[in-house]
Amino acid sequence: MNVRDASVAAVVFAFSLAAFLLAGTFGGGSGIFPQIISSVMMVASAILFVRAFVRLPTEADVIDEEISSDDRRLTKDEVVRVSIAIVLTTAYIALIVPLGFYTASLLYIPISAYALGQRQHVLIWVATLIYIGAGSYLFTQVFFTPLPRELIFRLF
Amino acid sequence: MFTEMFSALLDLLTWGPILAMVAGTMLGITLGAMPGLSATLGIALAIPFTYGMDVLSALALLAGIHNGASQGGAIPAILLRIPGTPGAICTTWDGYPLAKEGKAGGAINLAAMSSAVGGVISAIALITLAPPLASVALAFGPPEIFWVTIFGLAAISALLGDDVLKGLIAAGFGLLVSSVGLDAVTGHERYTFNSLYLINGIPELAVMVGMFSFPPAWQLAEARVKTTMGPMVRIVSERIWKLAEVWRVWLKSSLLGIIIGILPGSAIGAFIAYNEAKRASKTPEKFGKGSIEGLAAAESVNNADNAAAMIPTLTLGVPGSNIAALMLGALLIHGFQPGPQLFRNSPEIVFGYSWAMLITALLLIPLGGAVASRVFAQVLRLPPLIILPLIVVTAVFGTFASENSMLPVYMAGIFGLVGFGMVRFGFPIAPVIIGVVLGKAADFNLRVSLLMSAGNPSILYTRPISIFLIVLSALVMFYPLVLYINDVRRARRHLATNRTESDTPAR
Repeated sequence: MNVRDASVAAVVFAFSLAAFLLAGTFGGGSGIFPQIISSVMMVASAILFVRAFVRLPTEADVIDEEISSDDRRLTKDEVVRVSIAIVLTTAYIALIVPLGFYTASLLYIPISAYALGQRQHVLIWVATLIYIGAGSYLFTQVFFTPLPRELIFRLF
Repeated sequence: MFTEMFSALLDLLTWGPILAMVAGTMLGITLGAMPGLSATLGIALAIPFTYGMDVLSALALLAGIHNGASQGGAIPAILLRIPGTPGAICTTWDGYPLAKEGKAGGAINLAAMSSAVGGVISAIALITLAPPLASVALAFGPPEIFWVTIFGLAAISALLGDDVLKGLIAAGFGLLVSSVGLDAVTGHERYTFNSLYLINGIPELAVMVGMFSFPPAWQLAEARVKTTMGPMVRIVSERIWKLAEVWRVWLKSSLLGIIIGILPGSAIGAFIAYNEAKRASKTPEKFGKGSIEGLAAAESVNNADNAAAMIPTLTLGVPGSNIAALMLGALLIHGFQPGPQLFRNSPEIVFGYSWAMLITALLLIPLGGAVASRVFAQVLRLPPLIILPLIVVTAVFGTFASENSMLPVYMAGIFGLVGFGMVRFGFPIAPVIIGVVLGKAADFNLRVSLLMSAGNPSILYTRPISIFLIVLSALVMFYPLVLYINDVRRARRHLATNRTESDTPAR
């Protein structure tokens, strides 16, 4: 039995059912297309669920081929490292408005590199400064985009 | 048509587009040379920055990234036996043995030349084949256009990933995302939850950047890899090939790449061309051990399907690959609807892009050869852990600049998480993007068809072209099932043979 496929099929089915029911409340025929799509998704997820329990062995299973695709299971160490990367990215996006674009980026790039094990200080700081400098030039000189105001300027 | 074709060329040969093509090609080669990064990521990151550019320069930049990244993947494939892009797997087989013989510079040079030939032939195919195909497509009405989009989605869902069911679910998810916001026919709100932010729908750019940029960046964190700069990469350039040895391979592989590239969802061109080159070679025993023909075949086919994949995209509005889907999104963002009308209303855009594909393919000769072996090969020294936050910052900068608002950035973050989850559970990302990009057209044409027939659905399955497209979509969807049944049969035979062998007493 493939637990991962079974669980993801259940989640997709619930999502599609919710989308189908919501589409039923749309007026003027605007629910037709979402209802067709969510029905197809419900059928596909139901088949995926059944297949998770009764999948016949294929040639790859029999000759025990190595799995090298992106969906192989992560090791504990990999899970920790990817989680750090995701949490830091989320924190970076959340802090752009309160801290300002440059301050948040100035904190994010080095913290992310150090947290994941990078230790070459000069490289980290040179990359950070060059990147933020280039970003600043693009925003101010090319796009003329007003950015969220830097916290440091609001304090003084 | 010839007037428009040549006036587009003249428009392209001005400073802005020329700079964009050179910069795009260099950026593409750099990205392709970094294992784990790809043309798809490069284009997804670059699209938001093209907002402020005129459309021809924007398309020239994206064409450069596309061609450059396809060739850049050869650099780590040859030097380190790591395919920088999925298409460069076959390049490793002969490129790396050549590098081990001390011919790395020559191999990179041959790869660049082969990519340039493939790219040029493919661009010529785009310029010559797309206009007549678009004229045929002009005869399509709403029911046919609806089925064309369904065929595109079916082909991508069934053929691009390993699992047709998961591809179908991913495409459905993309179509549902596209239906968020005001309905184009009646103006009713759909899935907005009374939020003003969702009334205009979910920006395609946020989905594209989020799903194609964040997951590969986070995946760089998976491996505990080297965290210091590597030593300087020193490569001596020398010519290791003769024209007489490779021209047939270039021509055959490029034509194969074009045919395969036109078919939506095909990602096996390099393998087919490599096998064909081996079959036709007088020295097949050299393949896999540093064959000049093998390397030439692998690289020419890689770039040959670039422009070819744009033929169905520009003529029918049906993208043939991940990158074609992104290019379709880029055109929509710049206010152009790909499809037969694009040729009638804005021929300068179609031909300008086609010429840009041709010129950037030619740029691969100097930039992908001599310059790549001296300069771009140095990017292999950068630790991935430094590249990761730089990708995230670029994605955030670009998404913010697109609408001068944080909302697309938040949405890109959410879609990045969804995309990462999908990748981990074996769902392909490309059908989501194609669903988002094609969803509105599919919905609109379905509804208009029903309005035309006063609600009678038979209009969808009684017209000859519609019937042909329905049959084609069904064949594409059921083809993986046939493969699966064959696979199960082979497995049973394999098991039966093993059992017989183990039952036979040893003498």
